[in-house]
Amino acid sequence: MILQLATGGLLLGCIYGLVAMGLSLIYGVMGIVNFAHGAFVMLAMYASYWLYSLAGLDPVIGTPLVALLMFGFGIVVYRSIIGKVLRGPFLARLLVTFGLGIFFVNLAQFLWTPDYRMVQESISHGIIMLGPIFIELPKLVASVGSLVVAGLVYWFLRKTKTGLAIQAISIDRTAASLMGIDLERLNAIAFGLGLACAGAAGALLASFYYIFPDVGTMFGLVALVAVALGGFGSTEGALIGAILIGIIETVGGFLVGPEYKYALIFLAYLLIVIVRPKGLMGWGAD
Amino acid sequence: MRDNRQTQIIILIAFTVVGFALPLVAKARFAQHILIMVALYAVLGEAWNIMAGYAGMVSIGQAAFFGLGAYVSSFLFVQYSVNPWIGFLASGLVTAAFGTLIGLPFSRLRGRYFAIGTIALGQMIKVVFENWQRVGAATGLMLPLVDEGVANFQFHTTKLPYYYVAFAMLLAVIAFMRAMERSRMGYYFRAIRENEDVASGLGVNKTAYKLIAIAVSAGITGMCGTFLAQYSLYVEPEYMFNHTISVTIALIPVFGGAGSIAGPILGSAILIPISELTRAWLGSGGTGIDLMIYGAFIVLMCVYEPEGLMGVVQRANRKAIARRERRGSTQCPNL
Repeated sequence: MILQLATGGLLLGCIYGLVAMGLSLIYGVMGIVNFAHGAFVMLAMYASYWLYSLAGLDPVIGTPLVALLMFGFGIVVYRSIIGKVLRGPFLARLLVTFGLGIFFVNLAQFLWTPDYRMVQESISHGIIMLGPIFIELPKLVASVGSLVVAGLVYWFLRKTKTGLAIQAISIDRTAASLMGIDLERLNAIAFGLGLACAGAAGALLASFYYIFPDVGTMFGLVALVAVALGGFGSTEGALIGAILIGIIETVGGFLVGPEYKYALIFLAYLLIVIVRPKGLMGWGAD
Repeated sequence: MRDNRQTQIIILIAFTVVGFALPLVAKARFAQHILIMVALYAVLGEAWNIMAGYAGMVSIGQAAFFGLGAYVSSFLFVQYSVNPWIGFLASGLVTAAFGTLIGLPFSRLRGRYFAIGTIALGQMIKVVFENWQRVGAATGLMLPLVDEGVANFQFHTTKLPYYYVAFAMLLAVIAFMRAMERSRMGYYFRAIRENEDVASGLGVNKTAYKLIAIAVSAGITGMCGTFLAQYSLYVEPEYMFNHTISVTIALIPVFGGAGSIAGPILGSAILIPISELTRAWLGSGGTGIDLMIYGAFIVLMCVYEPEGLMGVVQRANRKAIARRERRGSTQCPNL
């Protein structure tokens, strides 16, 4: 039973991990805590819903397209809003993404009503048995997909020139810009990449999860907790934090009661940061 | 300097007079409702300001204190028929004690870890109250109707007394903040905000002062919770612990200008009417357009006026002074 639950938690954690990775990337590069991240996941879910119902494109197959769309959208949001706030005071930097989140969630409610929607016949459905463990196929596909995308982003950051430049910025912004790295361009790319992560996760989630305007809020908060749990600025930490959260949510939710599952996540966060104020793997100044 | 102080007192007197007269001019029930909300959120904004604007601990979970305060007095009233005014004080004390207790571990956290911690706190306490049978779980508590009057803190025929209670709270908070700004405590708070390591190196007991800031802020916020409970005569977790309340409480002072007394009042006077009016005109049926405008407003503010409205006022002031010093020019459109 515990094994069954832990597997479910692990699968969930992988999807959280992808959302958290985008959040961590944005934070690492430009110091912005993206409170609108969940709203972007929600927008991606709607994008794949509409691609499915209007063009017949399956959410899983449409994932790269949605990720690409969100990448472009991220560049636009960075150029028009985020980039302009970066030099502003701490509170403006902290709250601008709150405004964005409120705006997009309610835009979705205005355009598409608060009704629950669902992709009816995704290509990934059914259950497979792995020894004694039931695994729902859509969740398996979504979490494997998340890991693949996370792997791609990781590869991009470690092996390409642009990726290395992005890492250089998160280590030392001033030195990076002295070495001739175009901060504005790379900030925009990093923000786009962060949103692409949220986009891919949203598209994969859309294949089995209900879609409604407020759906992303919890994903955003959980990802935020995952990033803080792992330590701001550590991409690996974000992934570890997310998987830990996925397991706490399913196992703890079973042991204590499902209505307490989010409370448990937050409790875990509080306990961990009280012992380690910079998260599990965090470093540097705040 | 003396000149400056006199202007401040004149502004304060003018503010009090206008504040008392406003609801006598704006007689419509809805207008008075907006005025009440403006005053209430100005108080909530000031309470946030003590913690975040002065002492530098940004909270995005004030609804935890707000809801707790609302529940303390309502529970005492519903279960033990305790007079709401006693409940009002009790909720202030209980939330302040709760704030101190929470503050012990929280004062170790810094910057965004603190902010996310407060979000976590707000979400957790909501879940607890949603599942706590003794306080009505998800349905909450209905406050029984009693004879209206000051003694019972319930007014049915007119909203006017509610407004004066909220306005009196606002004046009391302003008086407190003015005293705090000039006191040693106010300087310690700002020292902690600017650099807590240096502050504690210079001998400021940072944990103690952080706890004081959290306790005071929590206590005032809890009393505001009681006020809203008496005003709407019911409490439920989804309403009292709503995350939107936490966000609004943080946005109002930031919008007006954090770290100043006038900031939250300005912010509340502009943001609350916008949110109430758009909700009344456009929001019926939950289309979300009211909050959409609200969100857009916040983003625009952060991009174009990141110092808040007080930044605009200060800039105008500086310009005016510079102009007066130059003396030459005759065209002063801003004055």
